[in-house]
Amino acid sequence: MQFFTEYVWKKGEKASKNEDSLAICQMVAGRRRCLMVLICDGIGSLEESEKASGFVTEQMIRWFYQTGPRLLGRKRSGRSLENAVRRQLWRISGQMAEAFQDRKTGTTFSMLLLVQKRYFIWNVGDSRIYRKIAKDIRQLTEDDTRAGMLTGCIGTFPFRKIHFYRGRLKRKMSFLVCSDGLYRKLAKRDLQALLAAGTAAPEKIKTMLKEAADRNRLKGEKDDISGVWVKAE
Amino acid sequence: MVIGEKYEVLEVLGKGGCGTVYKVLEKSLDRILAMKETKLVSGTEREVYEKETRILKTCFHPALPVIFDSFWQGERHYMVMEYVEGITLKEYVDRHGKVEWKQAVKLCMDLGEILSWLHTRNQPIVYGDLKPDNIMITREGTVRLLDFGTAGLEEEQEEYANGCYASFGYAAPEQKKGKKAEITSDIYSFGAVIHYMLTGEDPCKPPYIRRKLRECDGALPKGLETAVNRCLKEHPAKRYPSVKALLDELDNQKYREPLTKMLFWGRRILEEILTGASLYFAALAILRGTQGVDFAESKAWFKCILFLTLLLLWRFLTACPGFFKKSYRLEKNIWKTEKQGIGLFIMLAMFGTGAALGVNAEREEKLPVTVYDETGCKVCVQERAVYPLTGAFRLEIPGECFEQEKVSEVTVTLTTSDSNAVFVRQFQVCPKKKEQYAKSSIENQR
Repeated sequence: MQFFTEYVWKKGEKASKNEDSLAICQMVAGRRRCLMVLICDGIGSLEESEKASGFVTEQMIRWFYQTGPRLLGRKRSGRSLENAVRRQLWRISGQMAEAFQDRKTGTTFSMLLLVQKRYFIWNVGDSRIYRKIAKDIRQLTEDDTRAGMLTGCIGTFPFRKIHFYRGRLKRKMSFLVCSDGLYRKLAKRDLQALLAAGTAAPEKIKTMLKEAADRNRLKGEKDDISGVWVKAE
Repeated sequence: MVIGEKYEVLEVLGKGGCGTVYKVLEKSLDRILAMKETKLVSGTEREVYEKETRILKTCFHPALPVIFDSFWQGERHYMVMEYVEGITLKEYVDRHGKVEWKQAVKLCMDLGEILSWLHTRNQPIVYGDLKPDNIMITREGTVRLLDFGTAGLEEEQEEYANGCYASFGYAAPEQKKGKKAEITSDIYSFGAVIHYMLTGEDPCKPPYIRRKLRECDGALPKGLETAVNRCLKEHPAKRYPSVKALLDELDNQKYREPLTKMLFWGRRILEEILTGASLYFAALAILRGTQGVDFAESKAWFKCILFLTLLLLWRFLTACPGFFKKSYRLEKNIWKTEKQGIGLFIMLAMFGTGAALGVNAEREEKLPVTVYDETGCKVCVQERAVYPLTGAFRLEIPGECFEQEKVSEVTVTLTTSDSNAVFVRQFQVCPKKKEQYAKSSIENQR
């Protein structure tokens, strides 16, 4: 199976640095093509959140290339993959708690892993992953929010439950992994157009993503905007 | 902004650990030049900043920048040189992806020729910081070498006590340990640059590893991989002794490739035929020697042929190393973040100047501090450079710096570079004379 990706990553107007970090890593391990897409949105109200989001993405990239070939190179159960990522996030949490000590910082975590004919999702926070197959568009992840406040993240806070989802990957299935800056003010028809743009050229999809981000800006979105479009062929 | 009364700053071309590079207009001659600005750091001699000018003004090579002017303005040193239009090798690979191997060999031949010229001068010059950011590809497709801030005469190379001009991922192992940079250190960096060109994988970015060349691209010639591996040997004595030897090896690749393949397969086929034939005749001899076996009618023929086929198949499969080997091929690696450096903290190299201060003492003093990494190796970090922290590190202050039998307070301050967060640790030390310490420890045990 082939994977196609395009991304948008724009700094918002709230902070001096882009507190979102994203990673797109693709490899062939043991004749199995694997794609990892990860978006982390640093919590703006906490300190040094760009460091938190950058560190989490950096460690997950390392995990993907160091453990991935052994783990993803042959068929594994969803449970073993789920536990492997959970363990890695646990380690990352511990390292951050040790490094930041009394200071609080955190980041959301949304990871999509495509391996051969299966997809796996890990999510904590309010970044989202949408899926489109045929005409059906569905939000696959559940937001960790209550009354507009974030209730879960990866960082110096106590380690919380990571939501895990999995499914079968079908041809022409597309995904959109995005931070809240992208989906919050995105109209439903724009979201449908993005996810339905499977046959368009990669440059056009990149332009569509950038235009969606610009439209959000015009609607008053001040947060950082990050999104990755993925299609399986 | 006008600098030096005759250079008008047009734009900032780049910022690095050593300083800033501007594009300037020389008003009197109305020409575009490049100007490198470095700020004097306390404790460092002015001569260090003038070293680059001293080196470049004696080097006349079409691939090296021409120096036009050098002056001090207060605590800032300015060096004016030729403006070269083009893109760095790093920008080229980021934009176009990895370089096709034949084109990469051609670029390496041009770059190697410059390095070889530097190394074979009457007074050989060691470049010391070869990396894709310092290699420029002009519009005409020629290669130019920039930034001679780390270069120096081979005989003047020394172990750095307060700094190490090396770039993570491209520096030779001996440079990272603070030892003298030699010609073989440049060869190591050259090998790292070739690896980057051929794979597009930057060792300065996660996952910070350098995979085998043919694991990244199986179509690369084996001879090329061997050449690069030899450049990247840990021990300097095992690398190529000179850039010329490396260039000769690279030059041979374009002629060797089809011949190598022919020789390889020809040898393999011959080996299999000889092995099969010898085993066949051996089996035949054993079976004929067995009493009561009618060779013509029994199934011995069939068994013999089956055995040989299986043997040939086994030999073929084991001789193809990639067949069973679990490796991975990188197809895409994008990482977007505003986090600087590796790991969680950016450590400013204030330790290199010895910034341990005694507090609540009769006087404050700057003390020499030595930094060791997690393996116990001494680390030399250039002032204001970012040290990639991958694990714990140890700071060591010699005991002689403290007054005997007096309590001193040592304060270690960590400041993150982009925020005002400050971490402070204080502890007290009281060096005692050895005899007194031994006596008091015995008394404590009692």
